[in-house]
Amino acid sequence: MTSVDLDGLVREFGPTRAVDDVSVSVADGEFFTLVGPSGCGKTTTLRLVAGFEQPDAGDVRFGGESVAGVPPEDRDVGIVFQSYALFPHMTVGENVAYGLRFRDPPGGVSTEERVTELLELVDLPDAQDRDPSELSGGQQQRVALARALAPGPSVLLLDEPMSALDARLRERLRGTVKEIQRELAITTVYVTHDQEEALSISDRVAVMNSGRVEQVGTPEEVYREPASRFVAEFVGDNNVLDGTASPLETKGSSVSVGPAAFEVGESATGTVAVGIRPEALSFGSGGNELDVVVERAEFLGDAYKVYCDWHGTQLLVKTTDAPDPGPATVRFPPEAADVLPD
Amino acid sequence: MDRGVGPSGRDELVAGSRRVATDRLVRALDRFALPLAGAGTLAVLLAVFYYPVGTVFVEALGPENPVWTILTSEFYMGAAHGVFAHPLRVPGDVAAWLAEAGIAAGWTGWLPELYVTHPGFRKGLFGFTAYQAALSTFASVALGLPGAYVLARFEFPGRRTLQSLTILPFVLPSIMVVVGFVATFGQFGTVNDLLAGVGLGRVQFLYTLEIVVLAHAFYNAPLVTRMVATAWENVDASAVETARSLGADPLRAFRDVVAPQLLPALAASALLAFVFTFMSFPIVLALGGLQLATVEVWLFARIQALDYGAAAALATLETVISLALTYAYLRYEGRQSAEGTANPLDRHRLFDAAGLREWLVRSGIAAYGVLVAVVFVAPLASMVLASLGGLEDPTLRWWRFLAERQADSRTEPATAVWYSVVFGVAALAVALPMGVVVGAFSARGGRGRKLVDAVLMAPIAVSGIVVGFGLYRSLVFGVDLGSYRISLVGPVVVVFAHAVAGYPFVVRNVAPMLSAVDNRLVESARALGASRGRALWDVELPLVWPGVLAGAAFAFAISIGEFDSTVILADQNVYTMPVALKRYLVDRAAGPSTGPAAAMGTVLLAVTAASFVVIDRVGGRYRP
Repeated sequence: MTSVDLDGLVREFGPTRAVDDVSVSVADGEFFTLVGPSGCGKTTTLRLVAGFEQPDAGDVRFGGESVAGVPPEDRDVGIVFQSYALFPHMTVGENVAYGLRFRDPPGGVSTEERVTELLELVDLPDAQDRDPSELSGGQQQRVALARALAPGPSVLLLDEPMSALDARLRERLRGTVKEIQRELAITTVYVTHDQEEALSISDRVAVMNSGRVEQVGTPEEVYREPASRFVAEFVGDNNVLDGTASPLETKGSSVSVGPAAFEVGESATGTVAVGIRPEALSFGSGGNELDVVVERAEFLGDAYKVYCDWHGTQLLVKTTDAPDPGPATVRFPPEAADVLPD
Repeated sequence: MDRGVGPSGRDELVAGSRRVATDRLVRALDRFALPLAGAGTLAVLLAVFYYPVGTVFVEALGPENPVWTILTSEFYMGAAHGVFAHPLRVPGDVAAWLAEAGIAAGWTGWLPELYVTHPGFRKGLFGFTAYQAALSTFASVALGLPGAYVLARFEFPGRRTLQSLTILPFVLPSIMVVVGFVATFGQFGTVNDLLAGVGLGRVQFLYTLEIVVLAHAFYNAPLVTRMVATAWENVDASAVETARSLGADPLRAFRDVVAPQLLPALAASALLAFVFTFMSFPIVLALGGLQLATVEVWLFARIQALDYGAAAALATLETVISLALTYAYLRYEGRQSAEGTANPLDRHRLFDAAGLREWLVRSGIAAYGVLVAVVFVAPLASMVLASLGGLEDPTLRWWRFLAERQADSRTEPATAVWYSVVFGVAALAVALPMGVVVGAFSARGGRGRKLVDAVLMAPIAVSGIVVGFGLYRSLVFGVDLGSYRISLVGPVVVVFAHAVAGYPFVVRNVAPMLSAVDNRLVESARALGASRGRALWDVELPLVWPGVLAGAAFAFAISIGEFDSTVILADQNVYTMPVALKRYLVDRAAGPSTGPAAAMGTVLLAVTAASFVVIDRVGGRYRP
């Protein structure tokens, strides 16, 4: 159906480059997520795709064809906003039917049938005649999704659609969205600042920072092999340590941080940043051993987050049982430490 | 073989391609509807505002250079003409003047006093206009400021109604207010009737500077009240409480915390009052006469005397001054924060006083209430009373005069009412779409917004006389376009002049509400296939209809009350109620004829009051 290609997109607001040379390709039917902290340019990128913003340079292509100059109403996209943006003066049914004023319902069905179909799809079969204001936030967001999908768009754009919802609801709606997306096999671009959400829902993600794409990959790739220090710190919890590396004779290198040192699996020289995930650290001896002072522990239900001090650097350890505050030894295998590219 | 199929198949094909063509046309129209409407609005503005006013400027700077004649004339410029006529002598003249000025100490009998003595100087027409505007501004502030205090700091039944009544002057036709003042302060008005009744004899109030200033205060004091009261309500109570807790006594807290937040609003409202009274026309014309003529009235007199060169020059100079003042106002207004506070100061209960101080404050408020009643209620009540012949001689003949056919009268009331309504409806039909389109651009304009606002505000800042004069000299006289000569008849031009005067009010009501509509709603509609114009129609307008309705009521009321340009464009057969009022009041050799004027003024009052109710009920948002 429709792939979406962003090619060297630039969007400037005055002196700032909100979107700075962004190039990504979203495959047909793929669930693709732009993730990054607020102000990183992800929403502007989405608006460039939707046609609400015009790029200062670069091109957006749908199915290989440039959509430059095509107004939003002719781009055949469905969009869902964080604020739901349901038309308050229309009923739920009228909201869902709105796009069908301009396009015939797909599959040759009538408008009424299409509205019923979509409301069933989002599990709100009886809401047709209600006012949007009577619905809960999660229900309103599902109506917004139904409205966006009703004309059968070739691309679905979701701009932080769950950020206004509470955690539990968010998780449920996440499942609904993913399920519907897979069922319709619709090319989807999703924008979120929540890296956990991005990892859990996407086929691939692009991590953005200050208008640039830092890394594109599957959720596993960006988590396990971060391409930059920013990605390592932004995606998941991480301990990033700055040190000086010198190669060892056998394999790997030794990294000295302040007065202490440890071994890593990769060979490196000079100033490096090393990322060690909290779940790779444990208390006890063997492998690399770090003498730390346990400061406090947070109970998460299934595990503890333990905050330790290691020669003035904070270390985060995720374990199933919490040690008492005081001196302790933390260990990790050299292979668990990841030397980050510059 | 299939003979039957061929033609019918071709028909289908033709019909199909025709349908595709119509579809395309509809889509194109749909997509370009809003830009087209915007271009249309701009074209109307260019044709009936910028072009006519431009021709006035061109005439003023023409070969005879009447502007220079005015600048160097002592009659127009007063002492300031020397700056243009013989600039080298100015320092000497100023020094000579200063040498004659002096300070003298004296004794008043009770207290020592210092006098500044100086020789007189001629103010000239412009100087006098500024002088009366300054006096009027001072009177407006003096009359309006206590009102702001009462409205912002006291709670009493009817406070909200009173507060919303402060927008009434915007919709009251000024010529109608003149009728009210004549009915109150005229030779046979209520005040003189009262004075005569108690044996004090009748006093000549009309044709004095004082009555002009008072009428200007009637208009502009509510403006001061409204703007300052709003600022006062926006003062955060916790800021005052913080000052108090840090050791400031109530007076000190007022001086340090409250007053600095009121001053900008006070200054802005005073500046606006100055602009309005500088350009005021019917009040000075009818209550002051030519001996108290301001620039605007003299300009009108020049037009009547067919002295178009001087008129154009006066119009140009006046427009430059009013644009500069309006620009200053807008700069100032822009710096004020319009945001309210969630925590305003508590209001005192007006009818609940304890202690001497509170009683003193409340008796002051009572005295102020009496003054307000005299200035604001008496003129309107006297007018209604006069339309019924007054207390001593009650009669319905003036009302019958309105309704009957008047074969003997040159200015027929029925004709005036008819044209007022026709012009009002037609002007509304033009002003409403113009205002909505400009409002949409202004609310979402982005980069072009400042320019749009400036283009929009210009008609507010240029006096109706100047616009009317420009229209008269260009479109009514005729404009050469190539080998064609386009000349529009008065009524059409009047409608457009009224629309241009009224549409800024539509914009100012609609634009704030439009910008409050979540832009995501529009974007959702567009992603679903709606063009920008369609999204405006389907989504935004249904959400802002109260603003549209309030704007429509404003535009209608402005048209019904419009006097300045109408009086120039009207002729023997086409005139509106305000023009008829002026003819009854001013043009009669035998002095003002209050009866018919009062009856027609009462009709105007009813119409504009109805507009006010609409504006108030549906939440008009006019912020001057």
